[in-house]
Amino acid sequence: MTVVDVKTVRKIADMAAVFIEEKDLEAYAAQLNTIMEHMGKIMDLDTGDQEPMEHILPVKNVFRDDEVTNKNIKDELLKNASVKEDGYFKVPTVVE
Amino acid sequence: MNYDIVIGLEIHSELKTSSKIFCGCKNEFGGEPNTRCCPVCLGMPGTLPALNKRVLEYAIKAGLAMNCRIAGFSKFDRKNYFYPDMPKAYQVTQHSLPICYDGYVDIDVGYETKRIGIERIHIEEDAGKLIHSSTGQGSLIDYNRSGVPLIEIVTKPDLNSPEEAKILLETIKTILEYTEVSDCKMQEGSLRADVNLSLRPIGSNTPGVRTEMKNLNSFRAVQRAAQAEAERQARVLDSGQKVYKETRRWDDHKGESLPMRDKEEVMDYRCFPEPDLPPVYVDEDFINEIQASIPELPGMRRERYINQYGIPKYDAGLITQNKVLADIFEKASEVCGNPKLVSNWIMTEIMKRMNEEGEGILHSYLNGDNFGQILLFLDKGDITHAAAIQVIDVLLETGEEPIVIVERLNLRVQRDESLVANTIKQVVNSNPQALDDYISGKKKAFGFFMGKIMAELKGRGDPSQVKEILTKELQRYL
Ligand SMILES: [Zn+2]
Repeated sequence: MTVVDVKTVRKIADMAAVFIEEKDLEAYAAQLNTIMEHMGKIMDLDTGDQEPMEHILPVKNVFRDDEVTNKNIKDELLKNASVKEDGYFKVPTVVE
Repeated sequence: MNYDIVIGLEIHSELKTSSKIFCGCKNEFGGEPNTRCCPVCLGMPGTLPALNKRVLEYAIKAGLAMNCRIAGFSKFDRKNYFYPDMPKAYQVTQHSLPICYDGYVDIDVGYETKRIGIERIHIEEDAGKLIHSSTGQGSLIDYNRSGVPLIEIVTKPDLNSPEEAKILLETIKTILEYTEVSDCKMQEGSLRADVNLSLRPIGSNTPGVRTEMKNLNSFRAVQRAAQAEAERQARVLDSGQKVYKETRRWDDHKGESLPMRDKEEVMDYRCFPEPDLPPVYVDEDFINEIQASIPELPGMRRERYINQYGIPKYDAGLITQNKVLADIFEKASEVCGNPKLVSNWIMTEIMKRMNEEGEGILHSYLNGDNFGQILLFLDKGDITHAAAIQVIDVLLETGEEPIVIVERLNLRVQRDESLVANTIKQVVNSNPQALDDYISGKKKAFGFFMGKIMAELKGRGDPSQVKEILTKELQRYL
């Protein structure tokens, strides 16, 4: 059963901002279909008496108190920026 | 054709916690760019967020104040999108299980009360701010706002006019201020609304296609944007065309909206449970504790003012819309003992100054105690109406005690009977023409004398005393 066609691969790649060569789309579609098929086995299981699982973590309620613990480390943070200007991170134009 | 307007609001409100939602960075408006950031709120790989407990408390508090049910179990999700204001490429929000749901808020529309459903209130994080580069090339990002805690309040589409949308936003703002979870400074963007609007031919049950207008940050903008959008959709439908489901940007200067470039339908946020944040369980005790901390809300307070103080519904409504003003009213009423006088003065002199100078006057020298003292002087007849206004003006400027101002400016009403009587005699004697008029029956002359005498007493005469003595004085000539 084919669930993932070339069009879907293109859409997923777009949303993930990943560039895929046109010639490779078929191959990715085939691989993704294998994965989907494998995962599809879960549909054959009887989960009737299982509680729906909303979260995978066995812990709950991990909080921090409302306290300011961080200082201004602007210069250190800006070292990670490939382009900066006047204390700002700089990116290609996005604001209209 | 005639249409019913159907509006729902999505209201974003920043919570006034000390620190951000998932890290110990300071939560404050403005500041030098990128000075309130850390690896967590910059979304560096390998960092671990932890929920600020006060954010949870404030969200529940807001929910309870809007009559919501509180979820015993809720969790966070990642909403994925690429935009440089969100460096992680996802926003942490509550997609499937919000903390509050199924509430309502009552609004006053004219003389009617209307109940507006609250679909849900969920917790999420704010994004950074983008600005133009002064070089004309590229965009600059300040992440100080990134990770500031927000609640999003989603209403049911129960609003049927642009005016109702505005009133609901005002009402919710007041509730958030009373519960002290947000400072609601709209000019700083800490309260903003999206308007979802559709039209439905009158009598039809089929809902129309709705559009969304984002980030309206004033009451006026909400009302105008909704009005313009209702008119636009009516024109589209009347000309036989279709309304498209789209996100539009409102231009408040031009008074029109345009579709945004990123079409909503191509957006797929692929929400999934946030693996870095464990789910949240809240129990009855925790909720009850928060419930107990909720102060008397504006609606309840208004009813109490009407019943307890006997002030008009309209006045009570306006006064309770602002918590600080309502606190001033209550304290002043206690001090001066005449709530109706206090309410009248708030509705005139104080409101006038708030309109002219802004709400700041409520946060400087004026308070319920000194305002009450001024009105007590007035109520006892110790100062005149004009003098009371003068004392308010001076107080707002210098912050002196009312009694100090009254003494320093010599504003006390002049009641010295012999002095007043002498002044009256003198005025009557030096105006023979007016006296003749009075004797010949022209009653207008009485007012002329009153004016002259009050001027002579520098406005400090007690009108009823002057009137009494003047009447006796003139009697002698008849
Ligand atoms: Zn941070």
